[in-house]
Amino acid sequence: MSTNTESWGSRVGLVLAMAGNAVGLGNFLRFPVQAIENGGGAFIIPYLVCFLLMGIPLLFVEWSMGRFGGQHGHHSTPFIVGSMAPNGRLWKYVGVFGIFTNLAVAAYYCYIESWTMSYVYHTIVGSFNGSTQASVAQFFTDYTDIGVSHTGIPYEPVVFYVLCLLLNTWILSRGLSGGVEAVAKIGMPLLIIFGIFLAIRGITLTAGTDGAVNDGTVGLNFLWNPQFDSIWNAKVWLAAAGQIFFTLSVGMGSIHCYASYLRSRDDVALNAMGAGWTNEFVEVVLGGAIVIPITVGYLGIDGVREIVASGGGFGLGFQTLPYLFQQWGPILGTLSGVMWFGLLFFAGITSSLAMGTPIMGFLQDEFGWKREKSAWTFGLAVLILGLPTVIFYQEGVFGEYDYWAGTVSLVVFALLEIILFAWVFGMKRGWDEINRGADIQVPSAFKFIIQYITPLFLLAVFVFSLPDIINKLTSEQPMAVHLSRLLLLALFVGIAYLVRVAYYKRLREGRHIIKNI
Amino acid sequence: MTTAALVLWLVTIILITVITVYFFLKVLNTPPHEGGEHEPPHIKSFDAT
Repeated sequence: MSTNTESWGSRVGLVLAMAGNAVGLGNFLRFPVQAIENGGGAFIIPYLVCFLLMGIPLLFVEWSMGRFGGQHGHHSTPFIVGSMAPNGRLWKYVGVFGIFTNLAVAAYYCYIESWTMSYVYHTIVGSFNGSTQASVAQFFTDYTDIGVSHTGIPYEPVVFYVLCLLLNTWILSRGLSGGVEAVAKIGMPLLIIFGIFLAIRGITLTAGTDGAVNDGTVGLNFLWNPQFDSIWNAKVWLAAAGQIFFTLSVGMGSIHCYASYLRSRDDVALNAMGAGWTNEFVEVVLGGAIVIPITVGYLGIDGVREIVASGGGFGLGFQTLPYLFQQWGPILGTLSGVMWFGLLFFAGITSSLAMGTPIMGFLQDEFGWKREKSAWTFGLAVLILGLPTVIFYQEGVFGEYDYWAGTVSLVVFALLEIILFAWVFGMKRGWDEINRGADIQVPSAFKFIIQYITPLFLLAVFVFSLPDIINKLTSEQPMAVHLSRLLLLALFVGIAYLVRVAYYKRLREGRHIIKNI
Repeated sequence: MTTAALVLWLVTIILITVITVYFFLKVLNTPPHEGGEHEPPHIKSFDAT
């Protein structure tokens, strides 16, 4: 019997929590790097087309699926998905992705989140004061090597990781309204304020002041100068589609879970737009005006290209910015460092909390566990799964989790769920779900887009990704990578087994998923 | 900054900001619907499989 009696405290709280779920570190670290590597300003064209044809339709679909499942007492994807198909017995296993992805991504995502906590601490205590750029870069390399400590605390990254997990778990144990929503209401406005401050600072950077060699507009030009030829390159479209996936947190199962706590007549269309566009504002408007303008301002375009080639977004965000902030003087430098890592922390925690709720929903619904027990179980599971990414970070385990759980799984689940929604559940019924209680008129073109365009789009993304998947599987890898793959596979199978157990438990108790919808 | 980059940047950030503010204000100013159920966990009419 379910012990789940949670609900959202307010509509704005829900939208901020959903926006917080979408807004993550990728908004600030991944988007600008993707843009400069894929046509500069021209990247925004495929990016917005993907948002329109894939992102928005998936937001509508996932919000609707979640609310539909919630009306029948389901708060996690296996039984939400199962309740939408005539033969839910098989489809519920597709929903396993919605638990698997959240657990596996939370495992390494909380590790990045713990870096931001640690860097706020190190900024405040002055660990970067007087450092050179090389030593700040080395600080990061040393940090991810658990044998090296900058504070005297042994196994420093493990300590911060555990602290970060404890914080996440404690907030989750406070419940949806008292924990997740409360954090979103504080964290999202602060994130936007910090982001606006740093974006203005980045854009107004002037050559010759505070050691800058270029104006901030040089970086903006580097990011936004369009190379229109790139639009005809399939790789650019794949990158744009990938970025939309990561940034909106679609294909994960967390949106379904949040939406499952809506009432049957609550709006999903306007809420989905409010949350989705807030994410776009943070990513394109703020995320595009901080990292690149500041780093190009000090290091020039070639310097930034070099860092991106070797360290990507992490190279800019963790290995370079702490050094550059120092050039702004002790007070403004420290303040900017705290704001930068603070906004990354809020971006991270509002996402990691969203990853915890589907697992908690599953345990509460199917096994009658109390909220606190479910939250601490999630925390423990993430700790066990996450420690390999902390300990064997430099052996590539972190990247492996990110690839299989944070990339491939999203595309596979999104493709299957849209087929379910448009073709199994049925587009007519699906369209009614999207429009029930809607506070905006959803353009009827989306009916066609959801039924035909988005599935084809997702299929194309999957097919074009296949060579990379095959290459990944056939290339030589260290033992740690092979073991991490086995661990992920075991996790997926284990969750599928739990879903099967839960299904038969439902049958025994007379609590059935819908058969004849 | 080249004219193309400046125009593209300004058009994009203005467009996204305006749409975001529009939807967010609409969320803030639209009262929730009355009624509607939240999760009846044990629906009697479910068909036994």
